[in-house]
Amino acid sequence: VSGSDPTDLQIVAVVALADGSLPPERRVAAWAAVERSPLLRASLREQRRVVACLRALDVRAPARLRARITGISLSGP
Amino acid sequence: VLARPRLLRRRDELPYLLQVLRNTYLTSLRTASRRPRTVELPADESALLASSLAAPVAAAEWRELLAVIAALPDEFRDALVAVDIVGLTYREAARVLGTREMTVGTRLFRARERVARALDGDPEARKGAGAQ
Repeated sequence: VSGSDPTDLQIVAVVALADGSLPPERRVAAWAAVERSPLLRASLREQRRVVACLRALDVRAPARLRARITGISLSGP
Repeated sequence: VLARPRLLRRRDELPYLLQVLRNTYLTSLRTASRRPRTVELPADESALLASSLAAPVAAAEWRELLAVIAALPDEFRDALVAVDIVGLTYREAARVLGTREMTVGTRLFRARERVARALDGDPEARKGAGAQ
């Protein structure tokens, strides 16, 4: 992995590691890939910084809006 | 006039006192109409107002961040808003956006990458140039 472009699977793993949504059973493999790749390490730092920034500013939409959007998606085609 | 106890000695004093009572009432209405009126905001709006007044620096940072997010290409912005702001899971976001979870993940990656670079002062990322 080191030195080559990361795959989409690795990218998505880094994204999910950054926001804590990666399932536990995939974390060990994801961390191993991150440790092997300076590019993934840098990406994880960058992703975490933005996630932390958004969370620090408390810009999460109200639960009512989330429920409404999810409801629309569930009732949609 | 009304604050003091008064004995009615003649019948013709009653209309006078009723007139005083009426005038007092009208004066209280006029005084109330000159005061600013307060109206209770809905819960969500109160929270917004309170947060912006309590933390003006955070409000300024939020505006900058919002501008950066607004400048993202549509697909990247949708993924970031769905997951990082609305708080949907990747699966929910994929359903709402009509795409695959993997696509949501890669778009989110690019969106955060651009936001990070824009916050670092990269003018190209801030403009959303070189989209997709």
